[in-house]
Amino acid sequence: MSKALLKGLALTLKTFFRPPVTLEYPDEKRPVPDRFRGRPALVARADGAPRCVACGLCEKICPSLCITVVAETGPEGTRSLARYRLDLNRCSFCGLCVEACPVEAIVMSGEYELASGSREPLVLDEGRLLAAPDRPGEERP
Amino acid sequence: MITLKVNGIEVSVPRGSTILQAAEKAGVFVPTLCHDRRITPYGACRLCVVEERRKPGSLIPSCFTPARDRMEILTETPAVLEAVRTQLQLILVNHPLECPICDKAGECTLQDLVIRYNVTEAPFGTEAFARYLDRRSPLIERDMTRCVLCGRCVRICGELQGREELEFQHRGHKMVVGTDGGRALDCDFCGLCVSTCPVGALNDKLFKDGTRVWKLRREPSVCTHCGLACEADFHLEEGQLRRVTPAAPTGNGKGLLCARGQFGWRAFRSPSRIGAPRIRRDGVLHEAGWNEAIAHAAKALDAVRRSHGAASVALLTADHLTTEEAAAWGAFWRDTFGGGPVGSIQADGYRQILETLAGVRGARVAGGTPRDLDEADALVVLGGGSAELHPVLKPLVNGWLRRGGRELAVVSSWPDALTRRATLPLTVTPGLVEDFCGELLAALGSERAGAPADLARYGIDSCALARLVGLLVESRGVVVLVAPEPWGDNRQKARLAAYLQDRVRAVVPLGGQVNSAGAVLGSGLVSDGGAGNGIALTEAIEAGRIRALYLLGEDPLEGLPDPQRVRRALERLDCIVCQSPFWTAVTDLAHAVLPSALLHEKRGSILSLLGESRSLRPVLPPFGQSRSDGEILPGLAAALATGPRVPSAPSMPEPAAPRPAATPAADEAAMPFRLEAVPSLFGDGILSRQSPDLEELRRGLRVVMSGEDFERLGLAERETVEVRTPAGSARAEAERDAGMLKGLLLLRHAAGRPAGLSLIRQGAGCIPADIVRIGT
Ligand code: SF4
Ligand code: SF4
Ligand code: SF4
Ligand code: FES
Repeated sequence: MSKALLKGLALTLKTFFRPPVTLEYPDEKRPVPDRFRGRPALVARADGAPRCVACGLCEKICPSLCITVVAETGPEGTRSLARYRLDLNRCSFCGLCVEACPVEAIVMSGEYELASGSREPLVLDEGRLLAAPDRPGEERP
Repeated sequence: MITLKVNGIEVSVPRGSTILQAAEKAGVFVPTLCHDRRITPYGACRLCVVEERRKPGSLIPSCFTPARDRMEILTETPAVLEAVRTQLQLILVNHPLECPICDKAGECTLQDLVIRYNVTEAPFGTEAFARYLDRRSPLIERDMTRCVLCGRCVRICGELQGREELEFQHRGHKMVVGTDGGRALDCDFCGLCVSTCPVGALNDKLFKDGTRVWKLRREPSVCTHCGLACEADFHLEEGQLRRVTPAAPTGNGKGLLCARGQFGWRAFRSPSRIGAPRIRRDGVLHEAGWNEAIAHAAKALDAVRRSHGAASVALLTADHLTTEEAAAWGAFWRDTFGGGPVGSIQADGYRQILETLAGVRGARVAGGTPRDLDEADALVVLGGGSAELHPVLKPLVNGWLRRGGRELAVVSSWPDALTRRATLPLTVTPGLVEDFCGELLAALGSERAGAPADLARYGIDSCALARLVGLLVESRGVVVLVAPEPWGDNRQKARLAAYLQDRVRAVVPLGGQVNSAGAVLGSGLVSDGGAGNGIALTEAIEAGRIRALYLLGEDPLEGLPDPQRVRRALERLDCIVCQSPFWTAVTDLAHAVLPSALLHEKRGSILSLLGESRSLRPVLPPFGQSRSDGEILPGLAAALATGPRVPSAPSMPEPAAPRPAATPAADEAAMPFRLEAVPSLFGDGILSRQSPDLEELRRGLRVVMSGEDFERLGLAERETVEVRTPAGSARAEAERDAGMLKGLLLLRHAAGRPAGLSLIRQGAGCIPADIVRIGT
């Protein structure tokens, strides 16, 4: 019995002098890998408006039916985005919307801190969807 | 019949059929882009190529190559597939890849074919290139960069609609489809070009950018803007109507709609829809519950019944009831309530003619069917404005004429759409069409050879007249269409039609509302005593014979000439009950307003003018608290079931022959023109008037004159002028028309406009008029 105790203490002692593998999570954050699928985010054009052309393909492909795209005739007289709504309560983070988008207007961001006390904050509109933390190595126009 | 094999499947087709038709019959898919079964094949796209087994390597365009007996057709050989793929790649050289923002995506023939044939490369490159984009035209947007020059729009507009508004312009690379001089569209707005365009080059502006086609549910329904009740597909997104398209042209379906059918659907949810019942208390209309409103209406009607007899209550119907509802209402009105005259304002002419036909036959009228129309050797149209009343008649008749060797005789006092296509146009002096029909009947009836007595009076030549009489006497392959005058007298026409109905193949009265035929033939909601005839109605009210009105969607105030007199008459009434989907002028005078449902919101059947019976199911959700006419009836019938049946039925007198209006002679002498009110292509009915889009096309009151008169008056295009007649004066937009007779004015879009209605008189085919420039 004492042998086992000593063995355990030895391990503790050995690990005590190694650098820690855990993070002080809320204060420190681990960078996410490139192909990490965080919450979907809309990509903005240079002028800040969403790049989305409102074709509705993401809405069509989404297996969880969590996207609603509402189009309107924009100032140039062509189809443009009126409203974009994504219900994270239902989103399965599959990334199919990103694959379907013909103009790369939607990406999976690195954001994973999505806990919320109620459902409403998880229904995101285009304003909220545009604001996503940049991922390392990714440049957003 | 010939027999051939398509991919080994044996089919028999009539001689003269194309290989494509044989393949369709065999159920074999052949790609097509420029083909539309409504129009003649053209051969622009060369995607429909097939091979014959015995001639390998030679590719045959199947859409216009006639099939031969014992052919063996192959549609999927390597050579064919290679050709189709290359052809698609060539089309894509000049086609922008903007499917994400193109409304056609999802139902685009080009997109479907590119996916089906797995075209993923562009070996010929794609050219950055642009053609014009027209966004000025009402309702239709033309984005010619997307056009693949299949020519379908050009052909459908020319061949069927007969407008030739779109044509090919320039040559080679610069070729484009456009209007003359590149102006905005100014046409019938039938939307056929939009319905045929296989790509997203011609777009419905009401649909543009609103949704995506894969979100839509397609519900077969009918157009309810006129009596033809054309089949239409309603496209709904979550219960909301997004667009209306012609039903697919398969089988008997003709696949045609007009501007009202295609673009008039926003009327169904116009702001004038009534959402809740209302009753008048202390002179003001208040919202009320259904029970209260029905009780209120019943009480008012009962009071009239007690004091003056139920026969002093008239019923006016807009014929927007299903046949079943009309039957129930007819039975209630006759048997339970014992009410007075029944009539219609919008369908008055139609009912007059049809009821004369039915009266003479004594039994069911065998009206013309689409088949009669199709197989006729000759069409005789009595009266002007047939294709304006029922715009789809125009492509129908044009399609019928295309087969050649056919005679189209049109008796009209003005150059209407069919007169322009007629092989035998008989232009009668304005105002005399009725008299002419009477004379014609006399001439035919007595088999008196030769012409009516005083030909010069009618302004037609004896040669043309002889041909018309010849047609009517000789041939049993003749179909006669009878178009009533909107506010004129139609009794001579009706008598002539009744005389002809046993002698020609078919007689079709025109001018009916959507279920006029069903109401009269199917359910006996028959007019009697001519209450719908405006003069008779107004006079009966003025004489105190009519004390109350029950309006089923009808509005005398917006539909009868001389609105001031009509208003004074209506204000004398003890009670007006408006049971209508829409808020119109008369609703403000009503004692009770009962919101009724539109035909698209109810279940039942209707009968078209051409005797096609159509069954409807609700495609639109109910609006507000509105109820169908059938649902409203039981409560009302129960409330009115018991009551005194005062037998003193003051029957309506025969409507007096419209008196030639007594006008100061000096007035008339100073008026050099004759003015005739004519039906509008964009609909005069209450339903059509609620559509903001049709209203945009109408552009208000318009007066059309010959080019010569136009120039003599020194008018500018679209100038607003003052029109004066002995009845009144009003402002209207002047328009010129090269086909018009000198001295004739046509008044368009008078219905629903007090200014327009105050210019004309009931019963007079035409009226003297003058044009005065404003500010002179
Ligand atoms: S709407 Fe009809 S008339 Fe106008 S261009 Fe198109 S097909 Fe021709
Ligand atoms: S506009 Fe459409 S229908 Fe007309 S030629 Fe071009 S592609 Fe064909
Ligand atoms: S012809 Fe009559 S029924 Fe047909 S689409 Fe036009 S308005 Fe509707
Ligand atoms: S469909 Fe035959 S050539 Fe276009």
